[in-house]
Amino acid sequence: MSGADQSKIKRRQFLAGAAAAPAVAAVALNGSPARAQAASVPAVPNAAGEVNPPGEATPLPEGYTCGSDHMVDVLKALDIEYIASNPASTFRSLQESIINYGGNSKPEFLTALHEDSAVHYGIGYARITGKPMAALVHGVVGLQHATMAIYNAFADQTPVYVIAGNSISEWTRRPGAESAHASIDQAQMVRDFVKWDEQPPSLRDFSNAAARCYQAAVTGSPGPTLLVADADHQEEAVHPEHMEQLHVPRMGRITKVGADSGVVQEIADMLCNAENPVIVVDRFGTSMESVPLLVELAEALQAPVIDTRGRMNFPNKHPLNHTEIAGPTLRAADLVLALEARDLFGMVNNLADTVERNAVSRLRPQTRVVRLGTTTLSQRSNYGASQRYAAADIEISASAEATLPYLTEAVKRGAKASFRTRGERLRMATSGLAEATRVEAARAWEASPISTARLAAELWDQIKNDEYTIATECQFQSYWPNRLWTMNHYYNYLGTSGGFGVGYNAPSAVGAALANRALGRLTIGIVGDGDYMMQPGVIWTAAHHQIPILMIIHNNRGYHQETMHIQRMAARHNRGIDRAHIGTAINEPNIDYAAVAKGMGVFAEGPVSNPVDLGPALRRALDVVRRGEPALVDVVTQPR
Amino acid sequence: MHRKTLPGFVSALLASLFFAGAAQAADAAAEDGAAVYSRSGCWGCHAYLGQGGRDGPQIAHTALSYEAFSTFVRNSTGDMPPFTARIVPDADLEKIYAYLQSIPEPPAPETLPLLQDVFSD
Repeated sequence: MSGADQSKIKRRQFLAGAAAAPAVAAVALNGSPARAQAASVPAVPNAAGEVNPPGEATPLPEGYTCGSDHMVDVLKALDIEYIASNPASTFRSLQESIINYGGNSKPEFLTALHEDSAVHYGIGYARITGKPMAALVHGVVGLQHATMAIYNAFADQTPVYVIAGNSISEWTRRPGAESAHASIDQAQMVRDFVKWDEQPPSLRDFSNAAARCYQAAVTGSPGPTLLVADADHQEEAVHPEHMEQLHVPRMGRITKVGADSGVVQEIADMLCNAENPVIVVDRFGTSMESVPLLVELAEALQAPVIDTRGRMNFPNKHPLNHTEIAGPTLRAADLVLALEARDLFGMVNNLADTVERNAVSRLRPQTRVVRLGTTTLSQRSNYGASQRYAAADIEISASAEATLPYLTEAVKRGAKASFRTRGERLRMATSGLAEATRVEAARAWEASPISTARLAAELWDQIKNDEYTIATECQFQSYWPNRLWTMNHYYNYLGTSGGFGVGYNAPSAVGAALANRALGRLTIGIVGDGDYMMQPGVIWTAAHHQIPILMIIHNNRGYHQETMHIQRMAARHNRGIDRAHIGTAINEPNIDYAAVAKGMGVFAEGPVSNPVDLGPALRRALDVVRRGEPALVDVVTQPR
Repeated sequence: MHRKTLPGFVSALLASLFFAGAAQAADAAAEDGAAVYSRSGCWGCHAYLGQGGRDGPQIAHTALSYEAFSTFVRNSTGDMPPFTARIVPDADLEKIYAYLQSIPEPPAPETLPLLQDVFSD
């Protein structure tokens, strides 16, 4: 390499306010040129890096490319469709490569307004597609912002692919922000709740590390992974002769692993010989195949299904769906098959929020329990995703979805005539549910604030002919969508956050809407006001990228869960239950969510507090969404 | 001085609901009961009209006698914490009971077209 070439690649000699030092650069794959240049002397440490523009860029020599172009090649090989991010200096080269070298397509850069949102987008996206999108976060501070979303993904076994920038070498960091955002072991802060992390030591190591992170995210028990992309590696000039040494990985087909045939037959025998087998299901519905597989098993066995709604697992109006009468159904069980059950104890016990924390089993003492699923594969010692330890009679750490076809076949081979009688009895038990649900929904029908049942019914009236997804948790609306709407497909309802981190719903819903956009599906989010205000900027991202979603603010003007907690504590302490609003109410002034959304360029309606006005407001908003844009409706509601 | 309280907000809300829907039938105790129901936070789990929800059952038009109702409130050992007479005096509890019994009956579900469609498929 000529001396002239060397001088052209000394990118870090142009630091604002820094004196240039003698260059000793050599372009090499495993030792970055920036490191080799080494001796840029930073100015007096201050906040200059926060405010100063980057130094003058010197073009790469003819024929050279940069490390971040190679990184884009790798991301394309991994079929990463979107990469959500707040722009930041520790990945400036990678961002430039994505939008220019990569043509801003696969991955397409999605502008987020918070790293927490960037990762949460990936959760909703993965729930629809089954594969990860990427979030690109700033070194240290960006990753710190992202941690709760990463935890939610971990707790709910959802693959997200997080890439963090870094400036590891102290010789090449700029002063100020770039130094403050550097870390020797950045993954340390999330290592307890990512499946895998890597900080490749050289550009040449990037591709294999990237592939391993991807593989870890999607195999076994899916989850988040972290890949640290060093700024020096991104900005490294790559000599043409060294290009071929930069390997781009090939990803093969990834399959789920089912249980072995011996244990499958054993479970089938237990199910066929049980008098009252019950299927309890938590996080099973993750693909188009999963719901029909469970229907086939339940119908072959003529067994009731209790859905904890961690995902959309089983058609909500199927006569074998006993979710609404779970108590008596579980008490009658002599065998429970728990599918993808993270908190087995919580599924088969009731624990009242009392001082004593006495647990009452929902099962009879002799009832046997079989757990089948991957949830045990993601257990970590430092984080509790379940209550107490609960032993199953048989514990199988394998994919329930991959196992069910074989289990169902074995059940069919062992089917008994008595199954039909049982099925008729089970159908009778749910025959009155529709009318009971109507009666319950009619209560407070004309109330203002609007009841959550009325909200769900008004909404259903306008989307019932659409292929739809409700992309938010529904427990805060007393599960009215799950009870009133018709849900037959895994994408109709995406389940819960897993980690219960407030601020999950709005960004995750936008991520689901992003995935649904290509599929022509309508996406609905019903988001509590407290939850929404964690990340109100997501509606701007939806507007900016033309992501159609109907965002409904379930505006009960408070952190309602916490209101109840404070009231409970006040009652326990025998004082002051009339002060539970302090620190929990979100009022005085009331937040005008429609105005906030309009300020971000989004069509918005509300606040709607009269139920008579709700239907027309929803209709107008849905007209906008069906044109391909986001819309928001602020609905002043009953608490839940 | 403007005092920021949720009870104030909810009291006004419940009072308007109450007067809008059941003014003629309401007696003084029930009117007071709406305010006490609000102030005591019963709405948190049972909603503003006692219709219930995920966190608490319907208590509007409870079938319990006042005595049984009171016994439950004072001695609950389940999901609802017990509320002593110190924080919900007997006189207030009586008013809450009167309010719950005075809440207008909901419309019959068969009169609501939106609720017919939800199970029509």
